[in-house]
Amino acid sequence: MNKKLQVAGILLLFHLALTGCWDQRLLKDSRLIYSSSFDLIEDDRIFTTAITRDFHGEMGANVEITAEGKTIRETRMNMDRKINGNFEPSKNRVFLLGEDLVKKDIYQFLDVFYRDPSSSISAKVAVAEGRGSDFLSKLREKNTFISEFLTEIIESAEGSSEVGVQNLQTICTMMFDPGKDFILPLFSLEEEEIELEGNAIFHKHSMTGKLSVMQSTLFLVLAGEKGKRARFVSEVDKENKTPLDDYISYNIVKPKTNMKILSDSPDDIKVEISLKAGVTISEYPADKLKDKKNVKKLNEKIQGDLLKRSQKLVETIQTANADLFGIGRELIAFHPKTWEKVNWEEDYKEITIIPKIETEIVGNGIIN
Amino acid sequence: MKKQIKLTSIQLTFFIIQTQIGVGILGLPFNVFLVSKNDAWISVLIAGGIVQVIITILWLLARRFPSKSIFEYSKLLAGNVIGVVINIGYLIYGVLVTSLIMMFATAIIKTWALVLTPEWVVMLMLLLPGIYLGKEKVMEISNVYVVVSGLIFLLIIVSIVVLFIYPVDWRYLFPIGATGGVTMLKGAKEAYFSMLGFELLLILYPYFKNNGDWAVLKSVSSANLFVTLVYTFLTISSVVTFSPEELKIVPQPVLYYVKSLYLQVIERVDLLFASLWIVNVITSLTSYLFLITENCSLLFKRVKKIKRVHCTVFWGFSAYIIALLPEKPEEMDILNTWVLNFSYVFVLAIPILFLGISLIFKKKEGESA
Amino acid sequence: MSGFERKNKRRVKQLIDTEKVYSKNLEEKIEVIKQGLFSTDDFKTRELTFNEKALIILFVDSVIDNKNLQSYIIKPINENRHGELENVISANSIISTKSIDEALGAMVDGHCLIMTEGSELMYLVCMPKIDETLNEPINEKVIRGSHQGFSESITKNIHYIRERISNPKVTVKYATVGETTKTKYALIYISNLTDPDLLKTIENRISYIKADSIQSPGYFEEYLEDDSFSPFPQFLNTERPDRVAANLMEGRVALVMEGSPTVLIFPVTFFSFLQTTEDYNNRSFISSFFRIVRLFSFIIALCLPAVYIAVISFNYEIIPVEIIFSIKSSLEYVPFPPLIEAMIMQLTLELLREASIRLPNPIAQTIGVVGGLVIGTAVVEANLVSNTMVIVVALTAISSFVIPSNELSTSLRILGFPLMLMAAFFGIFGIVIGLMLIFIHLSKLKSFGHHYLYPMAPLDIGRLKDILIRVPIWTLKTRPDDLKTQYKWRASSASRGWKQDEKTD
Repeated sequence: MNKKLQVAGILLLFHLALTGCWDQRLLKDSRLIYSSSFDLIEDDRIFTTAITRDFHGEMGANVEITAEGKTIRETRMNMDRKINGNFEPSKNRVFLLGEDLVKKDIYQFLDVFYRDPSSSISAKVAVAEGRGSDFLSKLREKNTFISEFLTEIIESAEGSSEVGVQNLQTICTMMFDPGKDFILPLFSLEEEEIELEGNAIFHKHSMTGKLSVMQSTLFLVLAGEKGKRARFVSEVDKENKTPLDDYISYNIVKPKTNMKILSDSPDDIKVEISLKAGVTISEYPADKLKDKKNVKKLNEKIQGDLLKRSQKLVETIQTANADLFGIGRELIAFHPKTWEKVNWEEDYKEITIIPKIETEIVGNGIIN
Repeated sequence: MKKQIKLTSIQLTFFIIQTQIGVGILGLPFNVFLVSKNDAWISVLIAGGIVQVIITILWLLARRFPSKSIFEYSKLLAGNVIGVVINIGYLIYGVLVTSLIMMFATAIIKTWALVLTPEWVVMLMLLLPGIYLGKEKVMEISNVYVVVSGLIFLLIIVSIVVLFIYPVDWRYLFPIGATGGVTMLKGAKEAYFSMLGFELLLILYPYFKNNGDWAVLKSVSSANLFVTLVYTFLTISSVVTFSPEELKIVPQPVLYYVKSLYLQVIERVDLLFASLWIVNVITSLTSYLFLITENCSLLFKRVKKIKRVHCTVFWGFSAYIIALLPEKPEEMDILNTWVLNFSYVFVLAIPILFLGISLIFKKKEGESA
Repeated sequence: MSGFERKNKRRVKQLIDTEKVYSKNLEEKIEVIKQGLFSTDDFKTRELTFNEKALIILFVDSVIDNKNLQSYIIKPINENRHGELENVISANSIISTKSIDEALGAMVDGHCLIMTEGSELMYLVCMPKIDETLNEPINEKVIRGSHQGFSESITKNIHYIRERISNPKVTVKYATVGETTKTKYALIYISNLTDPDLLKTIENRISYIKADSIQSPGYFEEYLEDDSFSPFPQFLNTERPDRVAANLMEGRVALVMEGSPTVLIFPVTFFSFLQTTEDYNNRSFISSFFRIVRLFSFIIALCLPAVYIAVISFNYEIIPVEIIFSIKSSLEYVPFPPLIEAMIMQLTLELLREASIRLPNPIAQTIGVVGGLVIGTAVVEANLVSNTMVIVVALTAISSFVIPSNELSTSLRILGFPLMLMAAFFGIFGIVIGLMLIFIHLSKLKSFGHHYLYPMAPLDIGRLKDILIRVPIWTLKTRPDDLKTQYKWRASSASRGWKQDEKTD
């Protein structure tokens, strides 16, 4: 009895050893993809560009793989046929989406990433003005670490509140939320250099507008998503001798934002978005900060400038029909009756959003 | 000769906690959310309250027979034949729950980590530690449970980290209470299934009676409180991280939000998280194997040749075979409903019946034994 | 001062009343002293006649220099037979006393006791065994602390222990075992501390040993241990008298054997293997740090190769993107799967270790250099093993050598192999299952009926402060519960009462 059991055990072990390792995916046999871009080409086909690394002695070199297909999974399969080893996108840190593609429904394309357990949903997503593959090709020629380059450019922009902190997963949450929309970093290719152009405004699953860098920063401050720094430049004077003296650069500190629904009657929704923030001056060649009166005047000018810009921003956002501030969510949560009556898709453009800005100069660097 | 260190109330608490927290923990927010939407957390709290009532009933019953487990006094209360039938019923219930745990756990492991590994291997890996521990006595089992409970705190800490890092939206919880009482109760039914495990009180009571009957109630209740709070916390954090429409398509929200976490050292926390969760699955499995073993060794007390180990191994593998049978998710659901109905009978109906009989006929330990 | 009195107030109660023994005759007195020494087997008597009266020399064999005893006490007495005792014996100091208590104390401290018939006075003659040999055990070196190691002779070894616990309550029980070999061994324990049930269990277990030859403590271990098939050692082996003394004071039992410098201590817990006597010589912060390091090294030695295999062959998503390329580049030309790679390296390491033990010291060092440096670099350059694997295996080996107990560190490295297999089959999932099995095994394991994983399972949070870290000694006021010692007191809470006294204003 016991002996038979032992034999059975040994046989089982052999069985395991011989057929085992079902799920083994050796790192050595895989071709890691570090960054990839997706573009829409003719006939609604997808063109995928992926960057992997090859060995040239000790150093790695970027290799570009491209494929076409009807779905992203199909392009992956096509790419897999072009390379040795297994196509392995799980270390992909950045996805570049082409402009044509984001104007369609992006969720349809991204679904594969949410479904696959090994995919990295904390990866960054960015929109490329033009074709995403051109960006990667350009970067590949320069032989930089493309993935690192793109993540770092996005992360530093996050720090200076130029783009929102988003990844593949967080945008998914908002794509499914009827009362909230989002922005994604938008890059452009100018004179062979990749540059942050601003942000792409998304409504539901597709891109509907653009924000400039300055507008993005203002939006992030107003939405309470400020990064480490939020810098602005305002024109305060016009009659100075040198034009440089006309401008003041400042940093927003400790912003307090609040969204208040002033009126929730379905026909006339009024929302006030208020910002109360301190301002520290980081550049002001005119140096007139000793005089309290002058400071007050400056503050008013800053305030006025920001308000004007905010109104412009609200206009841009409403034109894009994107509920970036999450007013819809606020209505669902606290005014569910109103929400039931409105047709947000149509009515959002019509609602009144009133920005209110209050600033105070609290610092001026180490000189006055 | 060999004296045992006395079993403490803390051990009982963790025994119950580890039995209650198992497969359900990853899917619970999703299942409850499907029914009661953004009020899922209230449903979980309600379920906790209901479970507390049941625990009190079980305790009232067990306290009347302090040194006996339900398998012994069932014969006293219902007569020899019916008693044995009921005991066999409990045996079947235990086996079914065991196989259900294995099935669900295997399904999750197979979708998240070991996609190609055959089902029978994954299940075997779960079963082996279960049997290895399940054949032991209460002391050894609870010792292990107390230590591995540290992992639950780790899970909670990771969840808290997610709440800080992830841009959560508390507004997803609002409007509170809009779904209405009936829906919330229906949601509570979903949560109830993940809270099963407290019924082990029926067999554990005699082991912990030295601490006094109130201490037993206290430790089981605190276990239930802890589990309810953990579940509520996880439900809330799932609801605030995912938007309502999205949560509907994420069956394991707890794993999913951990997946989106990006740490410098470990890039994919969900894989670690899932591995730690397996420990909780194994402990639940062990508890039910222990229930089977206790039951079976009493049933076959007369047959000298059958030892405890044989019971555990035999029924463990029976559960294993049952768990391998269903091939489609629908078949799993059938078993799931069965087990739920079984649990109403064996966790609710029979103990209440027994309590009634015991109260009406004034049967207590010592008088009729 | 009052403080001093306070300190001594909580003395352990004496088990026998020593005040009422004056009136007794010689035989009764000897009996009393024998009782006072808890009938230890190294208590010896020698009867002589002096001044026509019976004269008895009582001594504890293991602490008395037998040669001196013969030539300076027994020989003069035999030759003279008359006169004053003080004049006959040649010794530097003769103390006369009436107190049995004092006599007992002095006897275990290297004095022999001389009693004469009809006299209440007893003479204590200092005749200690002096042992100049110092052989530090090479496998348990310490930086700070005693450098004494056990020798091969059983009486010498008992002497070392008695030197450290100079108390009549240290009891030595001699016996022999083995039908042919008749190996002499001694059980040592502290009579009024060690749990009597434990002693009964031990004696009972030993009484079952029916073997032809018992040659080393290892034989004993296998006959007595609870689970012979467990990879974990259930007896503490040590060559350090201070370690034995410390463990005796915890209520444990030591087994000394003739012809072996290794002393067995039991029952032990898992954590005894992670401690050294040096911990109590260092400052508590430092030793706490090292205890944590050792625990950490335990985990590394057990899991690191397995985790590495799991990560690079299953879940390389876990590796941060910044280093994945360099790991991948080192793996690129290695032909073997990671499991085989790890096995090759681990086995090579074990070979080196085994080889260096067999060889004399200077050559062993050469082997270390050849093995470590030459093979290490050559193997990587030949692309047989990857760079990272060499790092992993080296780290594992170093961590396993950090563990103070040699048995534990070896069994850890061996336990690593099944874990590696599990990792190669199922990735992290397999490791968790493997660790779970090991943990269940550990918490089921018992050493002489005592939980091996105490105070972790069963959890005793109060005790963890002396296990995971080391708090200052004076905060450990009681002994752990698991050994069921006869008294729990270890230090009074007023041990640092001087703080009160020195308080200014």
